[in-house]
Amino acid sequence: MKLNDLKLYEEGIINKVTASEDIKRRFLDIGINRGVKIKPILSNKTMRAYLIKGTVIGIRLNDSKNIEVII
Amino acid sequence: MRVGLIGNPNVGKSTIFNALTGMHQHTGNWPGKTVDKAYGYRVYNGVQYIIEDLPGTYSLISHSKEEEITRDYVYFGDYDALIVVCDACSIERNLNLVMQVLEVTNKVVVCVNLIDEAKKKKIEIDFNKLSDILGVPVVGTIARSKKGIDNLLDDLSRVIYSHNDVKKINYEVLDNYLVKLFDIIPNYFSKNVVGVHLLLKDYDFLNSYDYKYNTDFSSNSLVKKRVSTILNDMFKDGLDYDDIQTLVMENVSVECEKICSKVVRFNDKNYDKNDRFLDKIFTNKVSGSLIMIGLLFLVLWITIVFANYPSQFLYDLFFKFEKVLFNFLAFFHIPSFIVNALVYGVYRVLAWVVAVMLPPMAIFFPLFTILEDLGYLPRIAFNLDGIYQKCGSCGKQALTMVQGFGCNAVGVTGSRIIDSPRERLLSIVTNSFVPCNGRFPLLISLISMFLVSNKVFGSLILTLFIVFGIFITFLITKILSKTLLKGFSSSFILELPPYRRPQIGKVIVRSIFDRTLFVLKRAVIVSAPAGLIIWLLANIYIGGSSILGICTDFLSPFGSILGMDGVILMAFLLGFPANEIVIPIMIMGYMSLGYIIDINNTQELYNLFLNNGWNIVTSICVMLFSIFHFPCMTTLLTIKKETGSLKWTFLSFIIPLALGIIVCFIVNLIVKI
Repeated sequence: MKLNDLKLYEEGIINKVTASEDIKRRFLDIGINRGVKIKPILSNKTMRAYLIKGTVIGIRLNDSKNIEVII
Repeated sequence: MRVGLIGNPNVGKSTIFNALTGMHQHTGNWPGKTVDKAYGYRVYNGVQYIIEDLPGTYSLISHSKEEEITRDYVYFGDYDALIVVCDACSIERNLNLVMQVLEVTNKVVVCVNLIDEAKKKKIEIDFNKLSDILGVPVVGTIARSKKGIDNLLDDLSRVIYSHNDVKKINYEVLDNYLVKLFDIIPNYFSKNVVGVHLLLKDYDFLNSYDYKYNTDFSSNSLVKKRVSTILNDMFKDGLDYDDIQTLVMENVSVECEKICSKVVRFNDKNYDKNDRFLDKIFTNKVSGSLIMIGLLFLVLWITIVFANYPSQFLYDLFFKFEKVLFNFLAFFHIPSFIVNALVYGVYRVLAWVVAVMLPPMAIFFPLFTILEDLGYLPRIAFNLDGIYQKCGSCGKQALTMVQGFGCNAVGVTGSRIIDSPRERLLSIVTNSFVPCNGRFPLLISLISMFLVSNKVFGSLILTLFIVFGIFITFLITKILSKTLLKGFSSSFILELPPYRRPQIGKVIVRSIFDRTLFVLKRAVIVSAPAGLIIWLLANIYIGGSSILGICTDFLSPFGSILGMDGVILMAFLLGFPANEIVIPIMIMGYMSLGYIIDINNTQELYNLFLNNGWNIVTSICVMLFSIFHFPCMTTLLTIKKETGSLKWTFLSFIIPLALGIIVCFIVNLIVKI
């Protein structure tokens, strides 16, 4: 399923990242990679914030739709 | 000994730097974002260390412009050792960078900072075990109270001469392909690193490598052939070129997870519950907005109310000194023309700008820095990203806009926090649409004189003007991103760091030295010559009237189209170096004086304006024009410096000016009908 479909406070595991080279790199930077646990904890209209490896990262829905997760 | 300081953004790297070197060496840098190397010195046990603070970076493989500085330093710099700073609360992610650095050198000390915060959250870290695993010293520090800094220096002196084996990345699947490159890679440093960059065809890296080691990887056709054969093989085995980076990072991140499970213990599963609770309040639609507006209002209110006293004090002090200066110069029989020009022109304008500019900034920026230190600001960016996204920009622009209330030049420099160059320009060009400290006094006094005398209604009207400015910011941002700065709002990734207790003492020092004095210095440089010009214009007479008089007469018809007059326009023009002197110049013009002067009695000032044909419409046009005209010279110089482009400096000048002319023209037109 898509990361965007994950409900608030529901933990998923990242399965695949299909973004353009640039964004993928930035995702990798902040630890978004296959096998990593991710949990949305805050949301507004255009962004959600995720708990990932103990840090909180805000990502736009436009970007996070390129991340696939499994529960 | 040369030592490089690197680490993820926001781990307190600069605090470590300060603790190592002492505050005073910290110059040429911008709080919140190190964009260039900063140098400092420290002598310890008779050895001199040159410490270099590098821009924060998450990893060495990826690179934004600033991160490239760090990557090149780690790979090709001439250092004797590196300190990698990590945040104790999120050590797993920070280890990514550590692992990548260990690929290149074993002369590394890992500095785990903020261990006090970790303790509070009951996160336990076994430093000895971590050190054993990594093969390099690991030191826990609390940089803000300088705890552990001596240990850091002790380990540093040892590691410089060490030849320990350190933990290396396991490349797993990639290994099979990387080894096929080993025979052509010289032994200068990790063959794996060079191999990965060859496969990634990272020419930035290869060029730097070639330059340093006299190789020809970036151009050699045999190498290219070999690389493409390997890539072909990989493709046949089901591996994509895209996967190389992912694979490398995945291996690193799996390794880090393994290490962390051995050395880090979370004794309180809900260690971050306070942070999450605050997050909920700060980002909630209702409470979040209320807190945001409330805080902005509070900060502005404190600034405006409390700046008056020190301003008056400085003002009195400078004027006392003015007499002394005058007598001193007169004593040497310097011609009175020169004495007058120096004292009533250069000195007075200079003193004026300092007296009215310094106190509000010295109050506003510490308050702003406290919010920054607290970790609150990224939450604002999170809340407001939606509206900025619609305008083609990102939420961080909200922060630069708020800085603009303090000083537009600071807002412009603060735009460095925005990663995308296009969005950074949007933020820079539109920054002057919110009134800075220099323009608030004009707005406030005109509102109280011409619109309402009641303080509550007065602040409401002031708020209206500000809201209009913010609205225009959005509008122009949107128009620019549809035209000159065409582009969709790109991806936006925002770290929401843990909340931290602000270090009040350091906040004050840092914000005053780094932000306030930084701007004041530039303001002084532009006001001194401006003072001379103003004096000359007001005191050189041609055919019975001063040049200033001739200019105001000339501008008069143009001014009346805009609902103002020649004196007002001239005051804005001459107020180019600093908005603070616009009203004093008006008074000078109306009273046909040869020097700027202030009238503290509101009624007297009101009468002066009335006698010179002002009415409510005039005051509204002046206020609007004060919000929308060219940014002050200090801001423009800063824009030139930040963008390095005359074109964008010019556009930042002309766009607000054109807008002001249009707005005032329309207002005047409506009234006349």
